[in-house]
Parts: sequence; C-alpha cells; structure tokens
Amino acid sequence: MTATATKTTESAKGPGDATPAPRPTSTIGTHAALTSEHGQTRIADTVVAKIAGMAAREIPGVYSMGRGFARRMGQLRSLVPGSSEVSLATQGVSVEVGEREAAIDLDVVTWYGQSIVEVSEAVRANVIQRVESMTGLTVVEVNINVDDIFVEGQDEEPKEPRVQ
Amino acid sequence: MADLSTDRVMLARAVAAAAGSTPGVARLVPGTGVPVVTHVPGGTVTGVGLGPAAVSVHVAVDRFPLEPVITGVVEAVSAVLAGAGDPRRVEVVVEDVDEAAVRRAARARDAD
Repeated sequence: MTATATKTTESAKGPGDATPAPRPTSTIGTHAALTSEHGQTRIADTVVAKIAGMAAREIPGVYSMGRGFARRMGQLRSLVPGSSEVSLATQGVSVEVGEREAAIDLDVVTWYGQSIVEVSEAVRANVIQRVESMTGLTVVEVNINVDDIFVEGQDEEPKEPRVQ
Repeated sequence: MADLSTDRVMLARAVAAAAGSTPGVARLVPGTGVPVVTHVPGGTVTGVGLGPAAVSVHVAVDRFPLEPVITGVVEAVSAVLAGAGDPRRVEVVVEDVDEAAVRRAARARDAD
C-alpha cells in the first residue's frame, strides 16, 4: 500500500521532485486512502464545497457568505419556494479537488466589532478539520476573502413593510 | 496526532478552564474594545485569545492583592500550554475587580 501511494505521488509530481516520501504533514495516513488496489474513490467538488461551506458557517463570527452579487441572488433564491438548500450551502465557496488534495477559496462576511484575524483563523482551522475528516482529502490551502463586514442595525432588507 | 482545529478548540477550552478555576478569578471576560474571544464551532470561548506569540487570558478578579492571583493564572495556564507542547507566552490582563473586593480592601485599610 505504501508502495502504491509513493508511486502515485511520484507520477503526479514528476521525476524531478527530490522527495519521494508522501507529505510528512499528514493526517493522510490516519484517513482512508482514496486510491487503493481495489478501486478508486472520487469526491465531487460540490461535496467538498458543501462541507467547507457548512464548516465555515459553524463559526459564529461568520455572518454570511458569498460576494455581494451572489449574496443578493442567494437571498432572492431562498425566497423562491422549492429552491433547494444546496446553492445556499455552497454559496461563497469555490474548490479545486484533485485525487488526494483539495484547495478551498471562501468569500465570507463577518460582523462589525470582532477580530477578523481570529474569525478567519477559526474558519480555516474548522474547514480543514471538517473536510479532512469527512473526505480523507488533504486540504492544501484555504484562502479566505473577507468581502464585507456586517454592521448590526444596518439590515440589508427591512423586515417590516414601511407602509401598513 | 491531533489536528489543527481540534487543537485550537481544546486548547482554548483547557486554558479557560484552568484560568477560571484559579482561586481569586471571578470569571473570564471579553474586555472592553474588540472582544477577546476564541471562535469555536457553534460558539465562543470568552476571555481567551490565541495570539501568534502569546496566549492572552482576560479575567475579572475578586480579591486583593492581585499579584498572587495573577501568578496563579500564569502558572495554571503555563501548565496547560506545556502539556500541549505549546511554546507561546502567557499574558494575563486584569480587566475588572469585583466591587465587593474593593470594599473589603477599603475596610481592611480603615481598620489598620
């Protein structure tokens, strides 16, 4: 099994790479290998995106996700009856998934009055943990774009109509 | 080997527990200004900041003198960090003192 793993790594990286051993950082060994002698497991981008989206939202400092336009569209879409939750979970997430690694980009909106450094660290750590433990993929990077900051009281859509 | 997120969450909780149970510490507080909290999935750990070079603990104290209380917190938190193999410093910030403690201290001084 080790031999298989090494071979795959080498063929992926090319012969020029001087380090034949699999990445030492890894939790790889502790998770199920995605490529085995008996077959291959493929994980779709959507799966990783959904997990990452949910993981990011678990952090209380995240108010919302997505770029301005997508966020508004998401709000509209969520008003349409019968629209699925799928688009909402993956909103603001873009991923690249390889055979054994994944890279994740997130667009988040935080609350005013808290440390963005702290929030993004918490998001990054949680996303890596959730994705790695649920999929067995190694997360190589999580890039976080803080797109906007939500100020309480400055609600985007007034809850009550202005006229009765 | 525990991974990044679990480490973070566990460390913040362990530090909060150690500091919170130190004699003389009334509670952990977020402080004034940008709240000092550690975000964890589904909530926050109040009064614990995991900085790059130091772990800061913000407390409200319920007795005088402050010195032994602070020393106690530093020791308790250092023990947690050492146990986790974390090289960071400990930073204690006394954000508040309970009024009862201030009154007691004033009475004691008057009695002298």
